[in-house]
Amino acid sequence: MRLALRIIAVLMACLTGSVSLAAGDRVALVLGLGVYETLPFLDNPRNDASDMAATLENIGFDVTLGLDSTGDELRQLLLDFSFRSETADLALIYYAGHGVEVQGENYMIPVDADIKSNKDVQRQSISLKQLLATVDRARKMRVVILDSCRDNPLGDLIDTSQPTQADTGSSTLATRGNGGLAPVDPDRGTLVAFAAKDGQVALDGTGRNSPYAKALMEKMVIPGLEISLMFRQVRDGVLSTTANLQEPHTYGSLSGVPFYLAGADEGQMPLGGASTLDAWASIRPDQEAQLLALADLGDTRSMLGLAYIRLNPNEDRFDPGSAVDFLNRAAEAGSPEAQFELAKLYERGTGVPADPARALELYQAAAEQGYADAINDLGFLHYQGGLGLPSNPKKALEFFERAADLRHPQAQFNFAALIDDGLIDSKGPEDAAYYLYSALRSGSSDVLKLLTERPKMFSNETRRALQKQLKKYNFYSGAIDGDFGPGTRRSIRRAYGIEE
Amino acid sequence: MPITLPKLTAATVAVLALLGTMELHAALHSDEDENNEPGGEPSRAFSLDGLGGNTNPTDTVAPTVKTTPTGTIPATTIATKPTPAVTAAVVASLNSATGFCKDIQPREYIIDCLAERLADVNDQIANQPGYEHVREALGTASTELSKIARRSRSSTLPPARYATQSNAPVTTSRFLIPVEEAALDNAISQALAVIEEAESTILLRSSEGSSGRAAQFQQIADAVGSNKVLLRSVG
Repeated sequence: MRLALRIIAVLMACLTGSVSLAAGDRVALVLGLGVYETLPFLDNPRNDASDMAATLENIGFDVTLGLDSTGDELRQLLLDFSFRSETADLALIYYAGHGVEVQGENYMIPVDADIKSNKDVQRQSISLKQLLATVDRARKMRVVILDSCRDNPLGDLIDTSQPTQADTGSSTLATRGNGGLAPVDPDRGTLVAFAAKDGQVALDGTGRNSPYAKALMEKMVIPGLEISLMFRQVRDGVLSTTANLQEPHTYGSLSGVPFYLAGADEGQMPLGGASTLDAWASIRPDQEAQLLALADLGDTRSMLGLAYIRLNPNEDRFDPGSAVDFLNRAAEAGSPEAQFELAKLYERGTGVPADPARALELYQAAAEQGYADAINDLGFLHYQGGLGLPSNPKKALEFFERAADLRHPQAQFNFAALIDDGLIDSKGPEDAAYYLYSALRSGSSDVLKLLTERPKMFSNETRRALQKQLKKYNFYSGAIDGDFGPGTRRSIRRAYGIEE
Repeated sequence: MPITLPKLTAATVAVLALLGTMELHAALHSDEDENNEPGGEPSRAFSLDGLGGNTNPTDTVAPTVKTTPTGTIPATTIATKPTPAVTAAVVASLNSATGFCKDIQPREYIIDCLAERLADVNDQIANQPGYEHVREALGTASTELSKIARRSRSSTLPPARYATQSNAPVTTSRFLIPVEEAALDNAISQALAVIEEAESTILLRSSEGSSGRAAQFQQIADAVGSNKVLLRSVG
């Protein structure tokens, strides 16, 4: 199969020629708010944000910096950043400033906010949900870092309804608050990092930077340090420098694809374009030891990483049986990605005897947790008939639509294909084109290849609707004629993220 | 630690072969954005042995194209079904064919070049059991490409034989028919359609001829009862 992948890579190289990615593969929006009009000033957010922006730029991020932004400015920054995130591998937002939790939702407060009630917070502030939505379309990884008060800076002005005041004891250290933001449950593949665990204070710091920002900037520049291990090291560092007063915490889970914020280390394989198996195999030995330690503590992503290393046939460590053990542990602990990977092994008979029934059971378990890869494959299996399932296009459509609406690129293509075949009464060419466009933006190279090489599998109406869609987003300016000549093909590549 | 190669099924074989043919797309597409000078002298990248009298059969200039061994397929293989070795050789041959034609100058010769090279690959797998559907699809594609070139035959450029310059030169087995410059875009569109048809045929046949389990394992598979393909998760 590696041969086939190589040929695909050559094909893509032939197709794209000398082109470069239009957007940076890593983009960041860095926000620092300190000079508030009605709330207490904060000394360090501007420094933290400026230094963080410089740090991220130095390690190759395409950075947008916003300082002391008003509500309107913040909303515009988020809108612009959202579009740029669509073609980035990783989108990161760093926010330093006042934050507050109201009725279970976390809000970042702009400098011009004038707040007298809960409604004022909700109306004038930016919610964490909005930040998550902003990075949501990044292709591989989404990170939101909140180095904010985690308190109620508004005092008795409002009733947050969920008292989360922590006992800060007799500490006289300057803080960014003394309460807490609410725990969050972001989508899979998204990490929300808080400067402090809920119920703890986040210190503003006595120096130029907050302890959390300082630790982050120290660790994120280390080449070849895998992102989950980096956040672990940041946590350990902050605990140490604050005498255990502040424990950074992360919510959500990163996808099973490893990522180095600062790029690969010298002599290490760059991860861009590498398969998940090769990427994990490139992890340095000291970090593999950390993964083993974290796996022992029950960290399922570490188990997955260790399994991927053992599934790589190019590695001396190739050991499918051991990979199955790691995956079994992670699957039993509820990791849908592990369930999905294990299902593939049972379907193919790799490391275990082929067992279609077990494979199906695992695909279903992962799908029940909303894991889009599994939902799409169940759609495929229901459509074609497989793993003991009879062919059932109607059932398949339900799966494809569900995965497509989770923005799974292959499912978006599949759903568009079946809409184009007229299988769904309520949907037509405009819907098919919408899903095709979304699949392109999601970064599926298969979809790029099929749309540029075999567009005629779609009806002329759908092709025209796709041209309209491309025109709407300023990727295309030619005729709406359904003819995918050089102009349309170029616009398709641009929508995918390739600028020629 | 021993490495277990995945079992190569007919479906996998066909897909591998298909991927080889898909490079032909790239060869044809690459033509479009280049500013060639149609109608000019054939490239000095090849030695050219023309019929029209204006070429020099002894013209030998180092080629700029990279050629690779043609991955000659062992004729004595006794296997009754596809094997990894033969499949790899088929894919290598298809890649080599594409590599040979993709840089050919002038571009007017590219379509018949692909026709001739595909026929050459087909000859190589003439006696290989298990590759019948690949052979049939390639044969049809070769014939159709050749017809396209002949239908739009150039009135100014001569038919020509091409060869690479190396210790073991690869030479076309016949003279290639150039296409009229003005008809080139249209001819390339037709050629792409032929390649697409070949791909579809190979995929469809591979689905028919393989076990259900193997067919499901294609990352891209023809949707049952549709002209579409369906994609499995990359994950």
